[in-house]
Amino acid sequence: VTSLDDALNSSAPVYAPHTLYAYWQELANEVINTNPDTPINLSEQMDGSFKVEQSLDDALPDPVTMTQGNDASGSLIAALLGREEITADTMGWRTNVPGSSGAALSSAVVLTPSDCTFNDYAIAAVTVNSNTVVVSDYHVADENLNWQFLGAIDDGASLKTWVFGKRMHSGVSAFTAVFSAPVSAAWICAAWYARTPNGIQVPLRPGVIAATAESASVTGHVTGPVDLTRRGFLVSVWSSASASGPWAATGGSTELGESVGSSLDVMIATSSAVNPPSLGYTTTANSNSATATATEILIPLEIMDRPRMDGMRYFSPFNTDSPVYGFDRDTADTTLDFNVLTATGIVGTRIQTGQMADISVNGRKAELSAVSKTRIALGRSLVLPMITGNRENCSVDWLATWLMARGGMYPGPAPGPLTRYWAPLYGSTHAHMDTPYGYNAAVWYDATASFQGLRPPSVVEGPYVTGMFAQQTATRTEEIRLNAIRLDLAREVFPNVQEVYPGGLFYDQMSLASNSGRLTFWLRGDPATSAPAYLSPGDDLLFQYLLYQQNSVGGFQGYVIITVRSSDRNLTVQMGSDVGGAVSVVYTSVLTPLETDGNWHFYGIAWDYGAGTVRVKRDGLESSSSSYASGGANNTTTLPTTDASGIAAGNTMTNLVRSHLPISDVQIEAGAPAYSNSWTRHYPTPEAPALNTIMRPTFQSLEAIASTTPVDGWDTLAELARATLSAYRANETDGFEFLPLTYFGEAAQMTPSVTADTDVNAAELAVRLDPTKARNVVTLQFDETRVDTNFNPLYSLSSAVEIPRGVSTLVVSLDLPCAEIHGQSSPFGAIWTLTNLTSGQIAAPATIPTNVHYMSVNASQDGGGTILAASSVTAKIVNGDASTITLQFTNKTSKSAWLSNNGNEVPFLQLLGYSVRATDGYVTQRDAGSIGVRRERALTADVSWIQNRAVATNIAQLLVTMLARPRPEIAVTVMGDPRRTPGQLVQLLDAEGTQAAGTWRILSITHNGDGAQYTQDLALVQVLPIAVWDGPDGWDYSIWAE
Amino acid sequence: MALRTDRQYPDVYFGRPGALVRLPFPRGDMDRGYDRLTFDFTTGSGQHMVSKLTGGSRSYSVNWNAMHVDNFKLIEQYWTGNMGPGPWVFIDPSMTNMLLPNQAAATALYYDARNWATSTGAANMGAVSSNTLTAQIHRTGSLRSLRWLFAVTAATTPILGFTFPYRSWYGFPVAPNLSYSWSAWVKPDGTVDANITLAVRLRWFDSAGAQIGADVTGGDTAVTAWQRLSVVGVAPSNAAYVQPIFAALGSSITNGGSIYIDEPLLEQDTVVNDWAPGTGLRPVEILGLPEIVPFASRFRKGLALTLRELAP
Repeated sequence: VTSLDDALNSSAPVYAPHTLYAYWQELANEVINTNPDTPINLSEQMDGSFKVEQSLDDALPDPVTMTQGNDASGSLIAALLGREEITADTMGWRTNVPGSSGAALSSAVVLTPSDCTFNDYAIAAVTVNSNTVVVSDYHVADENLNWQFLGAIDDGASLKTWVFGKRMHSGVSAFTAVFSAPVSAAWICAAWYARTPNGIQVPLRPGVIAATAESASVTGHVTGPVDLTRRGFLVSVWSSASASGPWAATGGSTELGESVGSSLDVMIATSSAVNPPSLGYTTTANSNSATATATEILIPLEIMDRPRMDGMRYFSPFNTDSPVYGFDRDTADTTLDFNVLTATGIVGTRIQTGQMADISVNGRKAELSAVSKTRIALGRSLVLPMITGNRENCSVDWLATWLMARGGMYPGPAPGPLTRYWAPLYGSTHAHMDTPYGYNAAVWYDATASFQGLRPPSVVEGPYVTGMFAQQTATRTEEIRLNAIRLDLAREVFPNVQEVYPGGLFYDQMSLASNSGRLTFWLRGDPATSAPAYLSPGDDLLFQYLLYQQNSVGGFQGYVIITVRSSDRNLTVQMGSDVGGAVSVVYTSVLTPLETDGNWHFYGIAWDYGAGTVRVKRDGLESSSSSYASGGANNTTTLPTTDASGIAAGNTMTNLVRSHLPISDVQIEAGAPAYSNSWTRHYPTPEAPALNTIMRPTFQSLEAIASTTPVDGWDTLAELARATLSAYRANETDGFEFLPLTYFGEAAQMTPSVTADTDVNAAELAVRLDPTKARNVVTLQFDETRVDTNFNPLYSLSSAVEIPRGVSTLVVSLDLPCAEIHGQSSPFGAIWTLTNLTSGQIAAPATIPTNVHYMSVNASQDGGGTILAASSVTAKIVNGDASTITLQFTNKTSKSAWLSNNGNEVPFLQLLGYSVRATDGYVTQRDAGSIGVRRERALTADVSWIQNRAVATNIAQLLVTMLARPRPEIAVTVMGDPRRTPGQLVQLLDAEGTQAAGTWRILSITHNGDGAQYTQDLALVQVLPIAVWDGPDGWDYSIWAE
Repeated sequence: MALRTDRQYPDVYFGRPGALVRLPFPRGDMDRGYDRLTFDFTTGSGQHMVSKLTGGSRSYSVNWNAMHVDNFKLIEQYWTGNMGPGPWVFIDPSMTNMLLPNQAAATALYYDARNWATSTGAANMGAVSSNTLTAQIHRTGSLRSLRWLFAVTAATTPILGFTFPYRSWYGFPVAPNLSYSWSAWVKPDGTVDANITLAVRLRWFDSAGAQIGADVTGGDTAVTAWQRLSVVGVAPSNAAYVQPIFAALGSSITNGGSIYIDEPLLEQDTVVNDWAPGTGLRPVEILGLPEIVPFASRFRKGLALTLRELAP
């Protein structure tokens, strides 16, 4: 029992002010604690009233059967007041004003004063000896670090000055001015501040500047005029050739610093705070050594005192005096914590996390509205990958987690900025992050032969969601094989990475540019037979990862081989090359062999090939070795400059994972930062954003994923939930929940976590048993789907198409949707290039190979010209999905070529693959007992993502069981408890005679706050107890039962 | 228990700190209730739960039976905007403790040390927190006192004070030339350090935030057990604010030692009274000022100046 329990169980709870934050993107680096007036902290601006809605979509397929309020994501409405005045009391400038200079520079790094603090305003001046050079890069990738361009002036000959400004915050220490051509430059930076008596930081803002280029050479210089619309500083920047310096501020200004060098002299000066404001200010300075034709810039830097503002003025989008003027009102992250006074202090509970939707102004108040950011993030338009269920296995779980990842939601370890390949193996071997060329599958070995593909691997419960089953026994080996091809092309950036590294981070795997990396995965400690007779020695393993950089003749320029041996279950890491030799280290003493306990075990291996060092981890055990350096196995002399340059020169790169034990959560990372002894992204508890999703596997299979149109991520997740009768929602912390029936059968969910008692904390009950929602005949319409087990033509072209000189692209829409694009029996033999037909093949079509993509290229549009071979025109597949394939042609001839021929009905281009065919299927289930009483009441539902009849029948049966009789519902208002969440089981006690006592599940909660009032409106449904048991194959089954 | 003295100055004051006008004591009484929001929840069976917020604020209804127009204009100038925008301060010398609730309660309101602050925030000024050890609590029945802990070597003179009731104020507003008393019960932790020397002091400030004169100190006292320290001082004629502070002798503090503070009391009086709860002398804004002109138009009657305390 916690102090919060005690406080909330009291009949006289005391609530502290709620905590409402809005993380404006414009203030992304603002630190709340250092600025009591920060617009991020809206807590004091709440008038105490708010409304938060959280709900769980119970995934019933038709509005008739829906219960109330199940929007599946949270929303917030909170009334806001204005803010008290701020008037600066102390103001001035920082003492440390760094300046520097240099000659023939392509860029200048301008440092800010080291004594700058948050909310100071920094001004940087850069002077160069050219009037034609431009500064191109004072904007950086992180927009919040960008400097504002304030102005520039040049003398038309050999002197040019720019000034930039920045409201200081953590992370700002310099900016880089990149010049369009090498120049001599001198630069300097200063900063100003203003504070109230209580230390509240008052912002400063530059006004309209004046820039002057003098026409005469003088010693007494004047700049301006500028206007101050409120009190503030007059900041002047003086630039000349260094021979004219040093500069001296006159007329009451103070020189803050001067940078002299490379024949240039730039000085920055300031007035004291000028009050009252006025128009037409000028400032003066002298060039002391000689006359100069100088350039000057005068900047009015205004102190943004403000009067007390009510909500209307503070949040009016047109009020330029407001601290939040110009801020986007639909992008800031928001959080609301409900705070309760407990015996141990104030304890906050998060009741809403989301993204601001708007701040509207109504009367003297404003109103903030926010919605789930996760829902927005998941609402992406996505092109689904292709998956063949009978090759890689395929399930709802795979597609659901794939979609979640696109919105930054992860039920297990998350991909990081260095991740190049990610195959969590949640319901399929297909990778969640890959290139267009990757194919995975199971490979079977037994005493007679090896067989690749077309036997789907099994799914088992994993360390987080699921893993894929593999084994090595005396009679048969089932291997999970992950073939990651051309990872140099992997360019997908996940939302959590995008927020930190816009555009992503991309390191090479095995080149001079980068040859460090890391592999992480989980293995289940199943027993295995070592060296069964039917396996060749090279195939006898528990786990293996191969990273090869090979030249065009197969020579090894660098490789890493990681193995868990079947003989002793130890981890072995080998590195080397043809020129350097190889070193293999068996990690025995510290790491110890893999147990045979049937539990999942984490492995992590990081390598720095160039340094010849390896770090390894197995669960909590860690070791390392530098033997590779001493053994000469870190020879990099033959590595290509980059992975891409190597491939362009004919190299091949291999990334192959093989496992003979159940395996899960595989990640391959690349780059020097990946060689780290920090494993927190993966183990023991993967760090955020990992585990921001609660889900349980449904194990519900799909025949294929072959979507011909882009889908909406959130809507598709909703469809998947309905197809599996899973509840789903974005929760109070904006994590995602995807909860099949088995979840609610778990002991934790079958235990009432809260009590609603009309004698203690609940108002009168509104009990409803709505007979209009009863449905005793359920017909499900579904897409009955099958995938061809033989390849066939996906696309045949019989219209001439011009191939221009050079490289060109052609996107074709397929005649049939497909799940694989190749003409081989095994996906590992997939060919991504097109074969050029010869004249003989065109004349005798029977000789055309049937298992390759081909094209006939002719010099003439009518096909009567010269037939062009691959030496003239080549083509390859660069991308593809279920409905389109992107071809890239390279025409090396001097004129256009044509896809054409004059053969007898020989297609000009033909692409092969495994097509997917879907037809409408129907199943109907009835509840005879209900029909006998009510007659037939039908529900027909079109459910996506059910692809076979057995699944459809099961779902229809579950639905009719649930809907055949009126479903009890209760609406009740209870005294608030911020820890209540949808999905919880409520123990209902009613002293008022409804006899509705029992266990009910919360579907939606509306939190109502107003002053000291905190109540919750609960929508509850009575749920039958759920029985769950383990099937013989490890799957969990569940039904409603009584 | 000492008898509380009668107030020597029955007038009230209004305006900006440092520029107050003196008004006659409201003979029509003053309604100065402390509004603390509550909510009464009725259960299905007619039982009740009552929730409330930690904080609250006062509203004032200051009633004069009649007022000469020359006095009335002193109020009217604020209500009509002739003195610019607010907020204002209303000084009622009958207020028994000028400190904010969490200050007067020695953290027993929020159970944390908000509204308390050392002079620089540096580690050698000590750190403040809310104490739960009953032996270190002086006020009967209270659950908390303030702990001033010195985890590192103390500065020469560590100073502990308060955050001010308003962001643009330099302390607690005062009426010039009136006497103010400042007192608190203090004790050393008795385990790490059993003898710490400290004093309570008053610091006066003008309206621009400049300190007026030296601290008025109650005198350094070597404290070994619960002991009440106090000081009484008269606000200088140009004083706008007072800052009540604790000043310790750093050399008397052992590393790891703590000072416990309870029952702090700042009030306008010439003597030190027993502790009383405080709700703070906070900024106010005028909500209304009716004006009835009787036949004798040199007077106004039906005067009810309605004020509301504002956020800090």
